[in-house]
Amino acid sequence: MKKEFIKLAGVLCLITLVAALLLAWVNGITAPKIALAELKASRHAMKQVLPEATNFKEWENGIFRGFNSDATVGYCVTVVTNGYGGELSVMVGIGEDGTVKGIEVLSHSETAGLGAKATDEVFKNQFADKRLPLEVVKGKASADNQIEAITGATITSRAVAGAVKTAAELIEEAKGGVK
Amino acid sequence: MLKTIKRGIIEENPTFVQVLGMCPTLAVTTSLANGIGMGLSVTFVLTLSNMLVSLLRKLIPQKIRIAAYVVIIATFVTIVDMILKAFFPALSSSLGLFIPLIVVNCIILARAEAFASKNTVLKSAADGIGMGIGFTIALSIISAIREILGNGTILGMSLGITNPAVIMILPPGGFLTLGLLLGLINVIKNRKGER
Amino acid sequence: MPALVAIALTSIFTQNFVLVKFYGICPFLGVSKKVDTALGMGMAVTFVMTLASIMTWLCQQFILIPLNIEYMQTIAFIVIIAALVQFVEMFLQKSIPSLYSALGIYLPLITTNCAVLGVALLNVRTASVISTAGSYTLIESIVNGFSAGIGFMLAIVLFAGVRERLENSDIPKALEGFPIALISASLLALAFLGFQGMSF
Repeated sequence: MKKEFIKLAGVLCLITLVAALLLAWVNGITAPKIALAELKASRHAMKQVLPEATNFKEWENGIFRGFNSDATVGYCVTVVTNGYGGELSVMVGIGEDGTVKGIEVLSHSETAGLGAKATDEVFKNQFADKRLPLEVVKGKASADNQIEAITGATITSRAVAGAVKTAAELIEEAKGGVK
Repeated sequence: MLKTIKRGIIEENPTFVQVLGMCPTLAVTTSLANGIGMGLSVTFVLTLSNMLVSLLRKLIPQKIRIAAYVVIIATFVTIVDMILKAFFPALSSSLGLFIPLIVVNCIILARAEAFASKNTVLKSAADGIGMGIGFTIALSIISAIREILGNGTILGMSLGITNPAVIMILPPGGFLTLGLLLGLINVIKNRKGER
Repeated sequence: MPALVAIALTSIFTQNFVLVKFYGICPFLGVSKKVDTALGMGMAVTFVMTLASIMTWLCQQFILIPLNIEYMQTIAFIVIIAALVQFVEMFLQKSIPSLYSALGIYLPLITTNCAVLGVALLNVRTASVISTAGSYTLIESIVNGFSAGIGFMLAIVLFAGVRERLENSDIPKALEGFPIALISASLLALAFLGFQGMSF
């Protein structure tokens, strides 16, 4: 009985050990690729929200500073807020002059077909060159600080606009601290 | 060989006939791309785990076979998870937790226990491919219906539908689509039976 | 405290494990023909989910992260859950036979219930509300595991109630069995959609 138990445990341990070694090997190959893909994705998002900048450097508090040649053209930062269905992670680009340059929804759990439309170009493009403070309106936007809410998803639209406000505040704070 | 594959696709289709592996079938079928991605991931894991289980069928002691199968399946699932993260990050994030959850997909354990542990490596591979393709086809049908009706697109391309029925890509739409499809299959079966 | 209540209400209602997130559909469809078996399954799942949340959290924090082998997560968690289920079964059989006779037959099915592995993976992947850095703390994981189990029980018991009534109804022949069950589940999911957007 005892002998059999040891044998069974031994076989199972052996299988697990082989599995662990195999995974360690695959992990060794894919881990750098995964890191690269993540870096690429975040660089791509930065480029989207701050199109004028050609390169980015981490500044402080997770804020990245965007440069074009040597001049600072703006800042981008990722803000996590609460949307309609859960966490909503938005990257926001703010120009040196304080206008919004662009946004990118990095991850969300909003309702498919409604709140999930926050990832659509139509909604995101609205934010380019808008002035703070933003106002979310139902129907047509008429001023340069107004954002048209997604039909049926006002809460999501407000959450994204709220994220932009938070981002602007974070950047102001960081600027104040440096100067 | 071909018969084994065909059996998995039609006579014993894991989704439509055996009604196994329902969680991903309902959860990720909100777009055709997701459905195909999940289907192929399961096919990959199923084929490889079937082969390995069959290869080791005489070495694994009877008493711990289920535990051993689970470890084997989990290993392949982790590999798929890593590959998707590295090469298809967008698909990986939209399938989310349902990739690691392939481990507990009843189809895979059921095939290991019912088929691979009793058959040769080649036959087990064919069984895995057949069942995998059957699963992929089922997921593609469900997800195509849900994407067209619920989002007005197919593979992300607009079909010019202005007011899609969003409910179809919400959870109730998943249950409804599968329920009606199974009903439709019953109708076809009954017709054939009458003849 | 409010944060914990929010986690609980979210897991039970707004993000109901079965009807919104589609975890644990197999037992939801398979063991829901009678209300009392559904209740038994629900209790067994809640019990195992709470324990699994604790064990997998400890494994993640004290073994996987320190050793830097987080890629072993899926294997480690499923082995822990399988062992846990086995252990609970043996323990109940010896110590609380009455509970064992009530829950015993459901236990082996729980290992392959993706809701259990799902909650374990979610716990270590969701950002904590209480502490500022990292994923759920131990107490958050326990609350999440327990309330996700309650959410599962709520869904399966409600569904079993509907199915008991369906037994005696006149249903089109083609829809008998799974099809009508899935369509009923769809209506139940529609009802749970009403909880969406409630923030706590």
